[in-house]
Amino acid sequence: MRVAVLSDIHANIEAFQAVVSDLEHRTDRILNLGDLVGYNASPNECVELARDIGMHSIQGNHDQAAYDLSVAESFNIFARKAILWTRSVLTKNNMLSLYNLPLTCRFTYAFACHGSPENTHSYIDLPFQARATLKKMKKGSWGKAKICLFGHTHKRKIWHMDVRGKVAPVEIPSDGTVRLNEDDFYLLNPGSVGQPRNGDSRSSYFIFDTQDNTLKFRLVEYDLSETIKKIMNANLPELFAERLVHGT
Amino acid sequence: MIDLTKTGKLKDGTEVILRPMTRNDREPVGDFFARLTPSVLQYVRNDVTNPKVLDEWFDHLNYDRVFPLLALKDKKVMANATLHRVGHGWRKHLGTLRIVVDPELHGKGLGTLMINELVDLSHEFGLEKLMVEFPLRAHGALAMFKKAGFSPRAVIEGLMKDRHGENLDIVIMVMDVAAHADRI
Repeated sequence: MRVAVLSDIHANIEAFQAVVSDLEHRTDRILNLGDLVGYNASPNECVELARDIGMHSIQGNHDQAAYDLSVAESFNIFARKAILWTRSVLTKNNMLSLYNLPLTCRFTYAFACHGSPENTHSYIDLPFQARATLKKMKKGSWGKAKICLFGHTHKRKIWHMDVRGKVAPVEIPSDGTVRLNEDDFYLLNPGSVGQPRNGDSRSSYFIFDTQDNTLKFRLVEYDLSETIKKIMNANLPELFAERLVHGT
Repeated sequence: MIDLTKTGKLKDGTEVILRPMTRNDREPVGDFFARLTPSVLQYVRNDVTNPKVLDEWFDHLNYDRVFPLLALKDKKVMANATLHRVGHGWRKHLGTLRIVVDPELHGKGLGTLMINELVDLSHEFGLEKLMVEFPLRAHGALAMFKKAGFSPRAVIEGLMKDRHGENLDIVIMVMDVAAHADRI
């Protein structure tokens, strides 16, 4: 089975549409690792497109904050401003769609979460965070899967633990193709569709071939100027537009 | 300027408003610094008792370089914290914090509240490290920054002088923003 793994779309409909076009029916399933909304200016369009294409989604922290404002108390003032705006425009039906999303999903080929398997809000960004998660995976804390799909950092990343228990990041080659070793454990982050932070403004995602055990990372250009125009028209912080330009 | 206010609660239940400083804050910020005693003002980098210095600040507000956060109680400025950034070169990933809290609210958690907010913003701005420096004898500040996740990395003996000309040891504290981002 070929699974397209997307994350952190963050109400960026131009980026989301560009990624969906890039897929060109090359996948059997589309999986979103959370945060359909927040930051950018098209939350309803993104929730509706996700529904229309039958995308399997899990909940991110911004999705939670969209229906439960108390979650946004821990957000910084910019992210909180975006959530307040999102709540003001999100339709009831779309808010309900976000509410109904699961926090995690177990598939035969992987465990999927937003931040970490334990907490939607946690980050797996540094070696000690990856090591702690991989050790728990090895103990079977989240089932038998040897692969955990996660998002939240907006950075595409592969963490790997070999049979000796050594944890290290795996470099993603320029052609984006990575073959996984069946005996090892992995944490896989596709990066972000709607607000990439790898220093590249293009939307990032990967296609996971569960039979070949290979990943194909993809980078997709989209109409950035239109997204920025919508951010400014919605009176959202200019910082969000700057981040899109620089991919940071 | 869009509304970026947030309400915070102190240890004693007092509610404060946190928001970025804007051009309209010239007067309440001037009042805040005018209320501070010389013993507090000696550690403020700029001569904030000079109206021209404040005018200069407000004429050249640039959030990309210095992000100023205010805490207000009943429309009165009770603390000013700033996050300083350099947009290029070897310090691009590094932010520097400065904070001044009205002594009336010392020990009530206002400093920690503001530092936590600036740490969260540092993550939003894509910064990786934060740094702060202050006199080693400021035990309250040391405890406050430790609580916020900073750790002391260096002490430089006798580097600064207080207003009486006595040598001051300076402590430099650093935080890894990504390692601390679990709270965000």
